[in-house]
Amino acid sequence: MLMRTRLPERTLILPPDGLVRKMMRHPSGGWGLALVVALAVVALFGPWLAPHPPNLPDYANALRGPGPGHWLGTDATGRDQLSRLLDGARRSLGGAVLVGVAITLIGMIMGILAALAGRWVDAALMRFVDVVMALPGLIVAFAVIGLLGPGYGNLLIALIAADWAYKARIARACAFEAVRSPAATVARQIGVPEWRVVLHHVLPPVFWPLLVLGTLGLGGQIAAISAFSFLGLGVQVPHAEWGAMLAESRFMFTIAPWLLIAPAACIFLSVLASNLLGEALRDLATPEGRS
Amino acid sequence: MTLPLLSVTGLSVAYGSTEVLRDISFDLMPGQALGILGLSGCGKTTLLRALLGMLPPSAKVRGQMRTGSGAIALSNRAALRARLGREIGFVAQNPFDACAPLRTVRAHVEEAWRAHGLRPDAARIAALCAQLGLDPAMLDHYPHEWSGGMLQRANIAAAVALAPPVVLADEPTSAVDADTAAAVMDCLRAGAPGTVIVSHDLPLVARYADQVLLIEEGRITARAPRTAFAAGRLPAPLQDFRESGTLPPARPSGTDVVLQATDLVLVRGGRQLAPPLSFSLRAGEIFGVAGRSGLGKSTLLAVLAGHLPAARGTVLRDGVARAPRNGEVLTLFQDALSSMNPRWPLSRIVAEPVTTGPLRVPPVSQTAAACMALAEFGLSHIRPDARPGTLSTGQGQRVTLARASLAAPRLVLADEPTSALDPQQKARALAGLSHLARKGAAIVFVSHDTTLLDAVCNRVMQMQPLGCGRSKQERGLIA
Amino acid sequence: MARALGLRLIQGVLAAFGASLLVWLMLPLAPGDPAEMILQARRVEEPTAAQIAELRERFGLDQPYWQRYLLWLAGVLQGDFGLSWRTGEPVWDGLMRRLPATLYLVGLSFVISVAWSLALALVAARWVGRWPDRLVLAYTRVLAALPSFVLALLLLQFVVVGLGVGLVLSGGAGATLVFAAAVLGIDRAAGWTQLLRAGLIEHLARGPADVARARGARPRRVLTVYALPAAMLPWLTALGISLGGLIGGAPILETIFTWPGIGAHVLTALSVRDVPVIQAFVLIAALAYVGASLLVDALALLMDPRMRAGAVR
Repeated sequence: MLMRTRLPERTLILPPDGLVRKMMRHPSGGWGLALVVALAVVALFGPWLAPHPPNLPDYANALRGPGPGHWLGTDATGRDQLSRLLDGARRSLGGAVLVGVAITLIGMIMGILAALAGRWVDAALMRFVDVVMALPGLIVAFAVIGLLGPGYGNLLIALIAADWAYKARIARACAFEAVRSPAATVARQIGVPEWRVVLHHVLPPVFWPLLVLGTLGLGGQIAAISAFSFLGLGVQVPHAEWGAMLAESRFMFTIAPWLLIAPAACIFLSVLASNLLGEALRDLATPEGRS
Repeated sequence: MTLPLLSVTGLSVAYGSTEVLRDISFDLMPGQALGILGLSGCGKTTLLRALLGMLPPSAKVRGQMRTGSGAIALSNRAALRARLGREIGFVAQNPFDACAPLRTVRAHVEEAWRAHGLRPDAARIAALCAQLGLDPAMLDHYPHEWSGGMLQRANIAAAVALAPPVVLADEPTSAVDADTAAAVMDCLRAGAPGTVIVSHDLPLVARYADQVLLIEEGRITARAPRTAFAAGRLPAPLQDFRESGTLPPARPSGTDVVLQATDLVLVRGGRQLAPPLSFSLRAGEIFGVAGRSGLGKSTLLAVLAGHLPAARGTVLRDGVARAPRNGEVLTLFQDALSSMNPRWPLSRIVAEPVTTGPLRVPPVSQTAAACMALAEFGLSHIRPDARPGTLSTGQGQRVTLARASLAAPRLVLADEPTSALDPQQKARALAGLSHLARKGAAIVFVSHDTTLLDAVCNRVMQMQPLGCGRSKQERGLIA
Repeated sequence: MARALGLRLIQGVLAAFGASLLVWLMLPLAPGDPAEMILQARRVEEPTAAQIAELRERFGLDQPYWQRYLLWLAGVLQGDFGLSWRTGEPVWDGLMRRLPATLYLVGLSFVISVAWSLALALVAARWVGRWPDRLVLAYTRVLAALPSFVLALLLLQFVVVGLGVGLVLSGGAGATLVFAAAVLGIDRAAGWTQLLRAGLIEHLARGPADVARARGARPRRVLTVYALPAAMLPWLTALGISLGGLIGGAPILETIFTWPGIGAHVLTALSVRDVPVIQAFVLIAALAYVGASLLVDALALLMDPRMRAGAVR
């Protein structure tokens, strides 16, 4: 969880054209892409796809096994598990994407700012990043939750706080190199205005590695959201979230194993999908992988 | 009749249906050196790796090899491995790349024994040190503490430790300074009765090899003894190979002074690097700057480009002390590919100078301009929508030349622009450079290769270390 | 070399205290009145004004934040982490009583995952692209996609509850420890295996390995003598850094295994916002992290002659 993924040493280059086509040809990329698309549909339209109201108890039908009417069974209060999984998807997955987008943006802005401004702005920002990075990501998340109190919104803030610094450092390293790269130097020499140098020669070398990293980190964010919710620090009752669902039914394994297996499978598939997609992106982005 | 030390017959290598080497046969006689000559990508590295049994499993290898202990099929990697070190020694191109950085050089030499489960022979190592001029005490140091030339000698010691009759050497001097290269070659010849030298460097091969093979597109296209070079009786393909690497002669320069530097002092890290420099650059000339590393060649380029202020002295552009204007100076980098946006098609890269004007140039005209510039530098066969990643190093350098011709700078700063190129690519890139000069640019050509500079430059400035004679020396003619 | 390490130590400790300052700086952002929070933590639903005033007095809550931080800092430097808001017990005692259990779990699982990933990566790199490698890759891919708490939960339910072994719930500490450490170790080994395997494959293709092969060395020798030491360094760095981070995962995993370590204690503190406990936990975790990074640096110095010479930084 919140493991800091390493980037290959070579600068990542990723021509955006034909990316989807190349992805489909990659051994794991096609699977990753298909899974991600399916999960995105679930996360976006989950509440409308749900056959039953996700939070409505129905004690008459409590702990039903999977079967017609309730395809994935019901929990201890008779709520339909399929509906709860569909409803919970946007909290588990949407939250992870939100966190990923936020830290990528924060990291990019801070990194490019530091690299362009240089001097004391750079030094101050990077010392701040150093301090935050002296703490493992999970500890930062725990500290923020401890101060702000449990809750889904606070959890997302905590996860953003836990991971932005690392992204900022990577972005700064990439931007620092890109600002001084031969390509940018030549562009400046031939009179390309500075804003266009940044747009054409600095932004892409910062954005693409962060995108790859962000995709690789998505699995960790999904795991973290469900883990914190499992501990009761994230999504609060009665709302559905995959980790919280695991916590609710963890002691009912012998009588209702489906209540444990289905959310666990959902978490597994989501993390797998983002890992597969991230690895494919990384392979396509590294020069050796592009032949 | 003496038997050859090494004899290869009918060696072919194929990946799937593409054949990269076809029907290579040669003999190496005792006391001889065989030079295998070819441009990059011709298959000479594949040949070497096939003889060492080190091609990937996907390669289909045919043919056989005969050494002292009899003939074996080259596809039999296990049998081949037993002969490595004992009957065939190997010297890699870059000594620093060949030695494990975490182990001492002694361990590197001892690997010859340990690879075969033998106990290293200390007396033999001492004898090798004496023979090859190595300091035995240095052996217990790590590779990064060695100089390239000495480490390459240690490499040779490791290759000949078990006294193999044959040593294969892959560009053994290309990563070594010019003045130590001769010593390395002598060591190599002295180390083993028979030597195979694989290289793209024709003068080197002509000097050290008794027999020369030329490989082109995976085939042997010419064989010649060394005497043929002196006698001028070279087979046609070798003659062509020699001529394709011929450098363009210097052309007369104009009279316009583009830049005038007076008493320029270069400083890095608070330390003065070289005595003050004074020189002028004229339009249309190629001005060579030679000197060892550490004398501030790159600092000089940064000052000329206007990226760094001069510590002392003046730089006048068109007679005025001012910063360079947009488009006035352009740098050509050693690694040409790094100066291109890897995500852009070549047409967009080459046409970037066209887009800096106040008027928007439509993409069609941009592409047209790029194609013309590419054709001007002999790249009309390259698709303008290809990405830089598909180019060879030599093509990459010519793409940047094409871009430079559209930028039409007054001053071009070229930092070792040809050091990574094989002779043919080098000649083409240099032709491009002098084409650029003909269009009116003053070109500063920085290199450590004085022979090359003497051949292509109008004037050469030799940078000297501090306290070493005169502050500057100019050679050559001002036409 | 010793000087460089000393410098890193000072930097690291400063960063750790910088982090504690950050936590204090965030304190004003925390919603609600601290005194009321304390009383809520003690399950006092409707506190009286007198109770609140007394608490403010006792914990120095009426002082400005910066003064409280300095007081706290002064206390920490003397080994006094203050009193828990929830229990009134000294924070230090509460944490130290539970720390050994956590260290056992973290330590044992670390050893298991190091050994396991080393073995798997060597097998995979020895037969790259063949079936042992594919098997290892499939295994790591599955485990990498299974968050450790999910894996632990499933295994716990299947093996222990489902198969009726029942050792976890019956509180057999030794068996629980081994079981929990094995689960965590095997789970964590997934990422480390991938990292080491990639490093081994990279170094198998580099010059020194090539030259050793050209001397006639067998694949196993090339792998263990050339690729392994070179690939170990970055791998050990990653290991050391995650070792420092392991303590942060304690709250999640100890909850699942009902392990009486620091994690459950911190979790309770988190749910009632017991700030002194959280603060102390953050500082301890940060120092552990700094210590692990230093250990890694020292190890790199020992292993890499270029680092000793200061040739690479």
